[in-house]
Amino acid sequence: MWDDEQSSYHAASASVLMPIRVYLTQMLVRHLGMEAEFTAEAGTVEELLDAIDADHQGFRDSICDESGRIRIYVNVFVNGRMLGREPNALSTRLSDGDEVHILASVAGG
Amino acid sequence: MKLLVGTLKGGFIFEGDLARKSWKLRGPFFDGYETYDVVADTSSGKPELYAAVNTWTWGPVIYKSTDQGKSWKRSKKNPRFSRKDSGLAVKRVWNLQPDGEGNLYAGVEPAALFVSRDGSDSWEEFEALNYHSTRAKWQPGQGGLCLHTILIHPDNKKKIRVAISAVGVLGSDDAGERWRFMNNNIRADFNPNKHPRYGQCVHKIDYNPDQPDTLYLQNHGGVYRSDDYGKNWVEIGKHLSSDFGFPIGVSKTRPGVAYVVPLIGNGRFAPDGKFRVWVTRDAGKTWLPTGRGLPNKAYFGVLREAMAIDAEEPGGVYCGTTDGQVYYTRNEGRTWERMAENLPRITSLSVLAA
Repeated sequence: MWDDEQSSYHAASASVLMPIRVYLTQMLVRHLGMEAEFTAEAGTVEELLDAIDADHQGFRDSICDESGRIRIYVNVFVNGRMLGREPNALSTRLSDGDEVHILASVAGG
Repeated sequence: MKLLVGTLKGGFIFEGDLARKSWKLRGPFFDGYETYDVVADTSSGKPELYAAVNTWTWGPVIYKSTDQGKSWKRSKKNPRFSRKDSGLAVKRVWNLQPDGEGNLYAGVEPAALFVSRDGSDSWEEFEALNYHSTRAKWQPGQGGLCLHTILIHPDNKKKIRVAISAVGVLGSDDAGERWRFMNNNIRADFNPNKHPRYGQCVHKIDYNPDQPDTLYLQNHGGVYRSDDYGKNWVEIGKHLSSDFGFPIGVSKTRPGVAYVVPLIGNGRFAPDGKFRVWVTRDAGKTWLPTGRGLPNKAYFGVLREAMAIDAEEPGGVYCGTTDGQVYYTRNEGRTWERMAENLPRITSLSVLAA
């Protein structure tokens, strides 16, 4: 029973890949030469970035710096809620049918 | 002859005729993003151009062109710190420097040095420098804590010199395994101790590749020469109209010839608004202003990377201004002409021989 419980626990804590609808700002589409809307499979935001990066190298680096923080002029929204910039923001879990928008901040002058 | 131009709103290329009289402008490249350096690596025989493009949104990116700037490709890997626990993240690439053997060095902000040995497909970092034991005490200059100058000795590629604002000169003689400060006699006027081991705000260093041990340096205050590849420095700029300035350019054909643009510290424009490029023809013993063709009422400056020297005969000197003009001489400063105006603020110039 103990083994079964342990197995069950691990299964619950591992990410389950879910289809996520992704929308990108045209600035990013132009920068990386990719589509503006597509579906990718991931269980967390970090997995989503890595999954997209596997097909479009440089994608993750465009969204996050090497310390793991979302870049200061990039905003990531999950179902309309904007993520913070702390590194653990990437651990945000995603569910089947979630929508992720990646936009550039309004900035400049 | 091509003049490669970085600006705050993209990169440009001027294509000149053999006489360097007529110039055609191409660009802007890079979607209008801030471009801090554009250089040519001619080591393979076919020029490869590289540009340091600092997008304000998506981070700094290196672009590469193998067709002399007609098309550009974004590098998929870029200089990045490898130690996540350092908290460091590359904000800008300031300086690109090919070493003549196919390697491309990159100096970045916050101050660090990287090298690509495969045409910007991948990057290695110089850990002994980037995580130097004194790093916590390094202070930024007004432009940020940036590694803006990279010199690779043409006769011994293991001998590297870099300059960081406001840390000063560091050197390695073993390809970057160990580094030492090389600020002997360079002033830090803003410091209670005028000659600290490090903390100098060195603005630019240049040399003639045929005399690589002789370096010329524009400091935040003072112009210097070293005759031993940075171990010792002597001050040579006391008779300039101002010993503050950013770029310094060394003739690639005539030993002892160097150019500076004296500016006043507050305002960053020429004394009395008289824009002049000063030249020494005797390794810094004497300096003369050159200005025939340069404006007498001008309130712009020239940034540290925005002076270029060609290897033609007679020598050409090119200055890009913070107001978007390019002034240049085809006769070592006797007369100056305006190549362009109304460009964005110019951050870098470099030449690619025809």
